[in-house]
Amino acid sequence: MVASYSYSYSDVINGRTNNAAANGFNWDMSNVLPPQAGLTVGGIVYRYSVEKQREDELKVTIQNEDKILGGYVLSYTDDWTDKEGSRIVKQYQLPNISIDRIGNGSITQEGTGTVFDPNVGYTYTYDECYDPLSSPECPGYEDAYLAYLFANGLLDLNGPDYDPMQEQALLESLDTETELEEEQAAIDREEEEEEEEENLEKLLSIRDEADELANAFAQQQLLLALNNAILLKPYIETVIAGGIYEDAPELQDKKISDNRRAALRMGLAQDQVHEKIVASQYEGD
Amino acid sequence: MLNKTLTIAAIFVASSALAEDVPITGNVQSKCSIHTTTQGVFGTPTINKLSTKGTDGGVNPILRVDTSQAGYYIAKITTPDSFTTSPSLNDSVAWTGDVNVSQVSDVAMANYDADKVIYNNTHEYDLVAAGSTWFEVEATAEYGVDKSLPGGEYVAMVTAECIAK
Repeated sequence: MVASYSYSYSDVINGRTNNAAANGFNWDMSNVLPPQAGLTVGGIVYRYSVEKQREDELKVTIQNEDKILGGYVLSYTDDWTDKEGSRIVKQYQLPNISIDRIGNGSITQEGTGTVFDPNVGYTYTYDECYDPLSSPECPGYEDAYLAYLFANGLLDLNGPDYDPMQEQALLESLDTETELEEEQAAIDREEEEEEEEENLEKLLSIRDEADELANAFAQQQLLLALNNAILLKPYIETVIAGGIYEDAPELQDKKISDNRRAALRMGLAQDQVHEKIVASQYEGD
Repeated sequence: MLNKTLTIAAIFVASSALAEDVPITGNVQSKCSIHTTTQGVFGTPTINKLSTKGTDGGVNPILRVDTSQAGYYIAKITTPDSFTTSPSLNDSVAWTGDVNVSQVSDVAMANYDADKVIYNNTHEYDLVAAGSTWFEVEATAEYGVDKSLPGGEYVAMVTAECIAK
């Protein structure tokens, strides 16, 4: 019995953009939202300051274009007529507008007054595995990858580089050769058996090579597909075991006095041996 | 036996004639709340002055008043006129203060500052719109004349109230 499991995850990311109006009263949403497939915008928070006379008419509108239907996908207007200038902060929930629909944003004003220090932020949500091919850990990665390979012709066994007739012709020729060998074997049984064995081994080896050739082709296609797939892992994932590594034992310095008498004795003994060896070379003279 | 029974009955009748108070309880959740968004800090621009103004090295406290019912509440914000904690002071302290709306969540609140009522050191706002209003408070304390403030910790309180009309 073999048990196996596969680890997969699907992470939903929630985030908030930086100030879209940091560089002016018009902004390109492609520079504001992360370019994630399947991203939806679920809220807007804006604030700005107004300086005006109370009696002046002023309307300030924050809006985003609708890239699909035209017009505006969201538009909020603050009417400051008969109001003192102040700083306003507002937030609205949005019905999860797709990144494919929400267009460029702007702050416009009608009337007399000064609008300054705007800050517009969007809250968004996306699924990291909206495209299962984005990571091997995404659910459905294998199916999506196979579909990708087929869609791009990378697993087309009937492609131009593969000729099944060659394999068929090879098998037919092998059958023919086998028949001839059997006829020859009827003339000489002993030779036939030997030759048949040898030829059979030879034929089998040829078939193996043919199979390997076919497998090699498939493997080459798979490797090509793997190389084409963008999967960057900039470092090796590893786990370093935690814990405390104690210092190695140390020998404390301590004064060890020399044994002068022993040194003297050893020195004299060595001198005597040395003199004896030197003298021995003249003993023969 | 009869008498006893009567007696008991008499007691029963007397008991049923007693008055009973039945309490009715209920809670009203306030639709107005106050939150501190920025703690105030005194700066010391001169040796005899404490100030929360940014130009004086201090930080103005900011508090937010939330109300979900328009026109039902009044916000009262009182700037300090004494220290709650300080070293021993043997001279008078002159207090000044101000309250301003620093941010609103609805344009209808933009006139709060213009329409507020000030008395003593209290600023009273009629919360005519639902939503959040941020109030920024300034406070300055000047000590005596040609006297330096004694070293130590100084604490003063801003009082904010949300009162149903």
